[in-house]
Amino acid sequence: MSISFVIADDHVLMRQGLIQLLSADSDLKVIGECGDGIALIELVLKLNPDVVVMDISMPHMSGLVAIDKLLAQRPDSKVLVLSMHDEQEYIEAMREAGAKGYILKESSGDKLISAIKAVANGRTTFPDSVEKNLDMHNTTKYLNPVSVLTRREREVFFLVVAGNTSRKIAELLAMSLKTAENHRSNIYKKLQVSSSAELVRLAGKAGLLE
Amino acid sequence: MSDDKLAKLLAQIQQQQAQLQNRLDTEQQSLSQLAKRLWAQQESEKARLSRELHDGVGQLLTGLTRRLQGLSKQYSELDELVELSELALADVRQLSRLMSPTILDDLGLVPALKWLSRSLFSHEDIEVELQLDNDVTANHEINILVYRIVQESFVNIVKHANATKVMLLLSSHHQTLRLDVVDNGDGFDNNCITQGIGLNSMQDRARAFDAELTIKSTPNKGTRITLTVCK
Repeated sequence: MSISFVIADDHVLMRQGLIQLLSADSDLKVIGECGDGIALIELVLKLNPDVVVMDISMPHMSGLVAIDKLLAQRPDSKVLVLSMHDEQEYIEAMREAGAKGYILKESSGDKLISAIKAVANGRTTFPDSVEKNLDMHNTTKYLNPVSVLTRREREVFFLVVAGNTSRKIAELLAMSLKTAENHRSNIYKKLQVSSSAELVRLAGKAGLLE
Repeated sequence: MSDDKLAKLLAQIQQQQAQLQNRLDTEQQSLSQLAKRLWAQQESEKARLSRELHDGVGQLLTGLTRRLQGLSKQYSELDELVELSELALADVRQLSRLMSPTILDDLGLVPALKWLSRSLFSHEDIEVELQLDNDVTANHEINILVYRIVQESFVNIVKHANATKVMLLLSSHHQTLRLDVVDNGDGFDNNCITQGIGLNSMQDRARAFDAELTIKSTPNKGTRITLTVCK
């Protein structure tokens, strides 16, 4: 049995791309589309779709207000929020407002399709914790990172930042691979990073990249 | 001079005074409107930059990340570049969000303040306590004012205060909204600090919206910033 849905997103291109993507699945059938919250409520009340796919940031009436008004008039609506925002405040707010699911716009088409099917079948689907970019903002407390490193560790630090592997570093500094790896892991620990990419970013923020 | 003449003169002076007062009021009003417009303009400029960052550099980095992700399936040595470009993308997004908080329009003041404290303090050694009255609602202008005052205070705390505890309180009573940002950091001497651009601009901003902003601080005893404003 096919699942009917309407979709609300103010970016026309985005919306059309999504419709095209979703229409490829024979179980899904788009029966309406619109670009703001007010139009969405009218559309849902008129067409009675199985699932409502909607964005949050929309003109005239934001998604949060729209979902509230929609559920007041049609409490059994199954709403799947499709958003670019991965902050937990957004996810919590939409869940509290009564959405049955939340999915990020950057998700793959397969994920989106299975999210719509899950919601249509009465399940809920929310990201566990998509907030992975929070460590982005400790820009304010940067000391010169190398000041906490020993002289040897500094040498290793700069070689890692320059893109050398542990093996190469061992060779350049005439030490065993194991020693090079130990230095490397000490540096990570001292500077609280977990990968060389993070180390490079930290070096960049401290102005240590050539 | 006869009493009659004196009375006449007095009346004249009073009339002049009233006229002057009137002019002063009008001028003050237009000054305050100008200030409001300036702040609004700054906000819209920030919003524009934020959009450009997000849609411009952000989109390019998204494209780059996708390409690298695709390639790294064949070449595992690209994993590090994938991660680096993901970090760059996340940085740009975060910057764009802090510049113009769409969360304020999307979800309202309380979620926006929660997000702000999480973003600014989650990687600091600072304990944050939020007491935010969920029912607080205000118009967009006031929301932005409160948000920016909190943002400025938080940035000051992280940069200068050496605090281990921060408290953010938001409540409303009748038509008045009250905000308190309290920290237990180094504090400063109210009398001898030359107010930096940060504190001054907070005061200016508050004044433009007829809000009252008080900054109380004692060396080694932390700082309390209080904003009261008509909703």
